[in-house]
Amino acid sequence: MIFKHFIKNVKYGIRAVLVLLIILSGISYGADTPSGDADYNSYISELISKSKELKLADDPYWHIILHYKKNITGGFTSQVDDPAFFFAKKGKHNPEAELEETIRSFFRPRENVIMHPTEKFSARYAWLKEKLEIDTAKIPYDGDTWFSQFYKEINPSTVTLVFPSGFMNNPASMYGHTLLLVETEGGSRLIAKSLNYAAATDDALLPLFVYKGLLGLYKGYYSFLPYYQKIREYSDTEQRDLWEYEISMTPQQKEKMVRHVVEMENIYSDYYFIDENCSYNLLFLIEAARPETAITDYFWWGVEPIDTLRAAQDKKIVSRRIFRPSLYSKIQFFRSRLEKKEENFVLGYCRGEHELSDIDSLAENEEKKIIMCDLATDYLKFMAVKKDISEEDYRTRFMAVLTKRNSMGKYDPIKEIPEPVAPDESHESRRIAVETGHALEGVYSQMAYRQSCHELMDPDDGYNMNSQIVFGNIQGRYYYDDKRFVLQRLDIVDLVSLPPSDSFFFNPCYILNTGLIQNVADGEKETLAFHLKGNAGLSTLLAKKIQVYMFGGVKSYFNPEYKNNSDILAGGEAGILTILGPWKNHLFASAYHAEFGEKHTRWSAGLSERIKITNSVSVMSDYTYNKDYSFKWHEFSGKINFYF
Amino acid sequence: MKKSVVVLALCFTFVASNVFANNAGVGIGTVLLKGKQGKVMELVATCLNGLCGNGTFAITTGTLGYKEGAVIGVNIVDVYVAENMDSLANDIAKGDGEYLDTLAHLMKVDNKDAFKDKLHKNFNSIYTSKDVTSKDVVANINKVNS
Repeated sequence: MIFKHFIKNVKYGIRAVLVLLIILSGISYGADTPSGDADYNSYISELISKSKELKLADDPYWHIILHYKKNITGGFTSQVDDPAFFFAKKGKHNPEAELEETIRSFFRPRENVIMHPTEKFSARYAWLKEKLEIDTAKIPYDGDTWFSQFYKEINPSTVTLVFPSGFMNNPASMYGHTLLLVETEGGSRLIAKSLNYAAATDDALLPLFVYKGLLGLYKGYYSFLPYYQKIREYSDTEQRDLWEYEISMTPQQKEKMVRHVVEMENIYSDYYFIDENCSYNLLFLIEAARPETAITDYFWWGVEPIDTLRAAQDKKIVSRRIFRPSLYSKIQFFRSRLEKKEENFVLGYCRGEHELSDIDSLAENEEKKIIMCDLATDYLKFMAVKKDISEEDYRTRFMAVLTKRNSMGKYDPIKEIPEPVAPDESHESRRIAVETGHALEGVYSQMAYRQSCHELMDPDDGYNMNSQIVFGNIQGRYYYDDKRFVLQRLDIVDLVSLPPSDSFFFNPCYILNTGLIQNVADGEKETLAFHLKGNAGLSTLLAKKIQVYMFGGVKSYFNPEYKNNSDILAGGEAGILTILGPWKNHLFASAYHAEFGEKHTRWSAGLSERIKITNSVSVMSDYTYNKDYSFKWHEFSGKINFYF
Repeated sequence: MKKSVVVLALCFTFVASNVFANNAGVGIGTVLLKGKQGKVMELVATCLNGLCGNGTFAITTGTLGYKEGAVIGVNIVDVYVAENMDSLANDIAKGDGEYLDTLAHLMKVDNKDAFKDKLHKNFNSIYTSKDVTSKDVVANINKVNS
């Protein structure tokens, strides 16, 4: 955090609008020298004894702003890990000692510190000042002198929780992210300050990243950016729709929040992907403003960003929800309003195959012409983001289309874009499935638990259509015939990315699956094997909700009992997915051949049906015909899924 | 301000060094086309993002390819226009939109509708050529608005 070369001061006029939040460099909140002069000692003792009388260290608000959570021994531990956040040596584990030392810190001299404790720990100071009725004449410095000036510049109006939805080419992004926007009164949302909480990572190696992330080896910090940059990042570059959830807050609540933001600036907490992550940490800011929601206690196992939206809805703090379509969604919307030949005209123009002049003869009316221009504008942007166009060509075509657009009316078709199902209305991530059916080894019943978050056949509402991301899925099966219990499968990761391609978009698809699974390897019976599958393919839409796909790749199974310890098959699969309201149909077929080790070819084909009953219940049934070695067998099953 | 306090208006600072280093402003498409990443890095970056990984770069090293750097006394309208060249051009061509509204707000115009209308009608004298820079655009907007 080297800020030395950052500006020292910015003109007031500028700051009034755009000061994000004040970022302080090389933080020091006063040296760790004995605090206060002798004159202050009696007042310090008075305040400390009063705080004990009032049991302030046990007050829930103290726990909120210091991020104290109950630990397993029954005491409290703060989730903040930065030593600079605590005044007491054992402050992380001792709310009472921390409170006492915080009071003492207020009496440190103002001189020679970048920020006085009463400035830096603004929420603590304001709260203690109120509870203890601190007389500002009796302390060396009142940090609120600074804060009130600062707050005038921030002057917050709307506070908004923003969720970028899943990125089409990457199912993992379904986990999303959340930001908190703070707008300035009378300002504009585009220049709102967007608060991020994120891990400071510099590892480009994904496995290392995941490993460190799970173990909390990264430091998480809050950061700030103007919202338009985030829009460009998510909406234009990554093609993710943004969902804005406005949080209702009174002026007092907003002030409390901003105070806590000041406190958290440049303070790190160890970052854990699963629970102490971006979304969870933003909730502390909301909770500091609205402690009655206890929103950080809402979660019992892991926090997915999408859960925070549900939590906010549940706590009834959302006053309005706004959909901001991505560049991709806009392009698809404009296309849906055009005829094929009009779409193709735009595509040809963007690719430099012909000029724009024929647009007048082609489009049947001005409305269509406007839509074509807007489509061209956005598609050119898309090409620029994908680097499919040179800067020279981009500029020429972009300017030409805008000049044309400028000659037409003010009709703005994008205002008519329909809002898709919002992410907070999707099914929940955890799933229990109760299943019964018939497989190679007879009739069985099965229980399955999935930690997170979405499967191909789960209801698609709120998710990208026909995508899958599963982390942690376990299936235990009981066979009635030989009264045997088996671990049927344990997925560590199971991803299916199925973005459709067409003349406008080329999107490769892939499947990635690893874990343990029962496999018929030696032509006799099923055995548990370590499983790794990787496929690449392509997909396209036949109609709006009918999608076909084809994949090729390798499935491999490893078990020491196998010949060569492994069973490696290469082959391919294809299928059609159809969605009609609550019903979804999946027809599929696959062929895989193992050439090394035990030679065999596995054929299978079948269909899978799903009906969504409610947001938390769906029913499915499957049928598969399988052929492998000398076996031919039918598998069928029915199951009920509960999402929670 | 207390001189010991280093105040950072981060919002617009990291925008800057690249954009203003050459003192000529930014062209159409520059920001969108900037920073080509390798496919692998792109994938990783997305995963990071999916797992909430990025963002802190904003504080420590600047973000989106902009290096940290000091911009003292930079006019906020200049920065905003540079950062939003394409979207703003689109809005002015249409005569309406969020990017245009925000410009009106930043320029503290009294009559927003008249301002938007004026810009819309003078699109060709604001975006004078395909190689127009953000500095020219700001100057042209001021001319049109005066």
